[in-house]
Amino acid sequence: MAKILIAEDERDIRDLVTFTLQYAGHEVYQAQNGVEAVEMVKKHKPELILMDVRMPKMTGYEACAALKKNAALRDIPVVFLSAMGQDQEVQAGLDAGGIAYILKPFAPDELNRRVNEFLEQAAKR
Amino acid sequence: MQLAPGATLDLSDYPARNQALVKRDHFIVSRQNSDGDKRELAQLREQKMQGRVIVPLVVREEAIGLVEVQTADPVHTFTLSGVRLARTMASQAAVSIENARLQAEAYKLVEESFALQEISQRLSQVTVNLDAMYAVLKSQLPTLLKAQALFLALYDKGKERVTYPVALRDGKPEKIRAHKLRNDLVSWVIRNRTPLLAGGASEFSNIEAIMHREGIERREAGLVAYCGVPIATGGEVYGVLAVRDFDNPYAFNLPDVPVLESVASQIAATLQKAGLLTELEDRVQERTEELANERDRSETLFRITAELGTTLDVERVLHQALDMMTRAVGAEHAAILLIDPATQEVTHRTQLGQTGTNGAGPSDLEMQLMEWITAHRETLRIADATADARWTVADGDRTRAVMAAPLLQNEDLLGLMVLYSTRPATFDEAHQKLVTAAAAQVASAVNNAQLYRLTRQQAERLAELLRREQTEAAKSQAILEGVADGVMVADSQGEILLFNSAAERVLGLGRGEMVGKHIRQLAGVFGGAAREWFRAIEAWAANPASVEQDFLEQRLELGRRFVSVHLSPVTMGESFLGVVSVIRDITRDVEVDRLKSEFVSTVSHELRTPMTSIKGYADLLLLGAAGAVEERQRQFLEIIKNNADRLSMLVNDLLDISRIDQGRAKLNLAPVSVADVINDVVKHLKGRIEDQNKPMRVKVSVPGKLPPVLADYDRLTQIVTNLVDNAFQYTPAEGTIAVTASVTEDHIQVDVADTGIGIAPEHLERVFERFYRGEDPLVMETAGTGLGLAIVQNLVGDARRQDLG
Repeated sequence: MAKILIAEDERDIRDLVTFTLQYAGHEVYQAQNGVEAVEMVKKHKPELILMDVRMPKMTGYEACAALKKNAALRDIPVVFLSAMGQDQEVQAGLDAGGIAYILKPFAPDELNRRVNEFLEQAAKR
Repeated sequence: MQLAPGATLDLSDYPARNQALVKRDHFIVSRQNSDGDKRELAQLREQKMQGRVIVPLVVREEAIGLVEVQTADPVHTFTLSGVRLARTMASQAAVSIENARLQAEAYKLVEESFALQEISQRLSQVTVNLDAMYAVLKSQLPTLLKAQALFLALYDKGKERVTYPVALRDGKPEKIRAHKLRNDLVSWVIRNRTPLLAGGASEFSNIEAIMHREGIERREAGLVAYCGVPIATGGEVYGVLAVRDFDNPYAFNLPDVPVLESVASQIAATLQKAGLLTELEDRVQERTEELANERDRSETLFRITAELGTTLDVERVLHQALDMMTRAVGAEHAAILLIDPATQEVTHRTQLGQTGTNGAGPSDLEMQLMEWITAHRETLRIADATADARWTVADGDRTRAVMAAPLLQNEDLLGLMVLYSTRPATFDEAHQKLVTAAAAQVASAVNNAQLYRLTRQQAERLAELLRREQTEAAKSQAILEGVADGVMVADSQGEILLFNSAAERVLGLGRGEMVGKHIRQLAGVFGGAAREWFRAIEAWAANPASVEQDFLEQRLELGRRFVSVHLSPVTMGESFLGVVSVIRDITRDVEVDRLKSEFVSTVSHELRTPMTSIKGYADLLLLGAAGAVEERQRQFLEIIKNNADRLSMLVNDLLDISRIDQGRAKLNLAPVSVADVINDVVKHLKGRIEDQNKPMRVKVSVPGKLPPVLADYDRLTQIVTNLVDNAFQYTPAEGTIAVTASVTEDHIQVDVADTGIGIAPEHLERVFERFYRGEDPLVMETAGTGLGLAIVQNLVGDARRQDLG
């Protein structure tokens, strides 16, 4: 059971992820863009952030970079969840401070499995 | 007693007078003393004289004459005092006579000595001129010798010949013919080298008697007196000086001999001097001639040398040399034969005059000469070729004397110089020496000319090559100028040699500021890229053998433009000549790539976003997250999911292709365990088998200890995955997939085999084409994009290229 933030501008996908994570028993917070995501993180201090890349107002990269500048928030793992799968896009995510880059489309059970892995990793640190 | 002057009395007829002379005492003849000299008495009676006293004229105990005093008085005959008086008078007379005689003699001696002195003086003045000496003799000898006839005979010992350069008779020149040594007076004097005095009445001095006694033949009628002395000195007889008389047998006396001898010795001295001088002169003349010949030869040789030195035109050289040689040795015709160094063929190079061969090639004689010279390598002189069986003189060829000299340059026989004459023994040793020396000069000239010709041909060839090369270079330059891409050529040291106009345009640099510069200096413009170029050039220069297919490719960002630079080494054999750089403005290509990449990125994003929802929700439904699902609903949801997966795969494959096309598949090379890769792939395969519930036998054959390979782990995994996925997709359930790794030389080979539908041979060629899947219904049944093998091929191609890089 963990607090997870999903930042995703596409509502269908945001809901899909939310449902999938809640179905697995997690507490899920939603953000529709980068700016909102940063605010929500500050507010709720989630244990894991699933971050879309292409979002209005502030991209996932920018939001991630902003979080990593904040000493209080930089340790919260960020996992990118994007439809942009070109090498340089993946690399940009990792450069911004993401611990992983999950390419859309994904299978919900596979997502859950990975999320659990990330949470376990975070817990070990 | 009455006596005619000059009359001669025989004293034996007059005992009284004889007695008076012998006893040097007076003798008295008287008619009163009848037992006296009968003839005296008879004369007294005849002259009517009574008596006479005969008184000797005595000078220094010697009676030199008689004085007779007679009287007609019969009473007063001779008293003692009278006799004394007569004797005193007689001695006075005798002294007077003696004085007179001595005076005459002294006078004569003085005269002679003057004449001798004069001759001596004159002769010493004339010294060597014999004609002058003869003139002196002609004018002086008659004065001195007062002879009716005189001559100077000269004896030539070598020819045994007697000549008469001076001969006078009665004061006029007389012609006496020259003759061999014979049996005459002159020859006798020459042979015996002693004076000969002949003349007078006595049987000892009489000329006839002497000639008879000595066995001399009479040659001149009427000769009654002769006095000849040898002209000799130091045992050498030069001739005879002789005086003769045809009237007076008493013309010459003993005192004349020393006078003649004195003159003769003067003449001898002069002759000897003259002879020595003549000999000297002869020798000088001889030597002068020798020197002249020597000089002529030297001059000829010098002229030949000079002529040969001034020109390298071998024809002219040889002709001139031959011309001078023929004139120098008196030959009539001549030839120079040369041996072709390549074919050893002997040819006439030059000939002068008619050699009897008409230039048709070497004659038999010439070939024989060549053979001899080849064997002996020295100058050959033949006095008469027709007289020697070794030599063949052609019919109609009037050649007799031959001289042939080798043309030797170092050890090489270049040919032959031959001189001919129609006169036998024309050539002597001096000629031979000259020809030998001249031949050496000619050989040197021929050699020089040949070297010059070779050098000239070589130079012409080089010039032709250079011209061609220049043309080629100009062509190359024109081509290089004409190409659209920029071309920069640098030499092995990195100095820029060529910078074409396209390069100027692309790099925005004038060639004026580039050509001649070092490539290092471009660092100011291109930064680190130029330094890499220089490092590459240095590496290539250091090891030219290994750079054959090497190159350096770089992309430069110049402001808003992109430029690609491709450097290739230029090598020839083992040497590194330089580097050719092709410079291309790829700004547009880069822009197109960027647009394409953006497009692919957008498209894939826009496709994946709805697919995420489709697949995600279908999956959720299938998971039962939204409540129970009926079997028929489940079936339909599976169809949605599978098609969503298929679309997703297509998008992934498209992204891969796009990535590969952009050359962005940068390989991350590191030592990789192939076994690990295969294990990963097989794990993934087994997952698929399970997921799809499609049972398969999977055989993995990997040797225990495979060496690591240099590879990009992810790409290698992708390649093997694509192959294994293909095997899985096109093999029916219960089939077999075999993955095998093996070591081949310096590679590891991975084989994937299946028992599936296989690929028809006609499709084999096209399996790597994008989207090509063939037309087999079995294939079409299976989901696939037709991009799997294309991706594999591209990845392998990339790896190969980068491996080589």
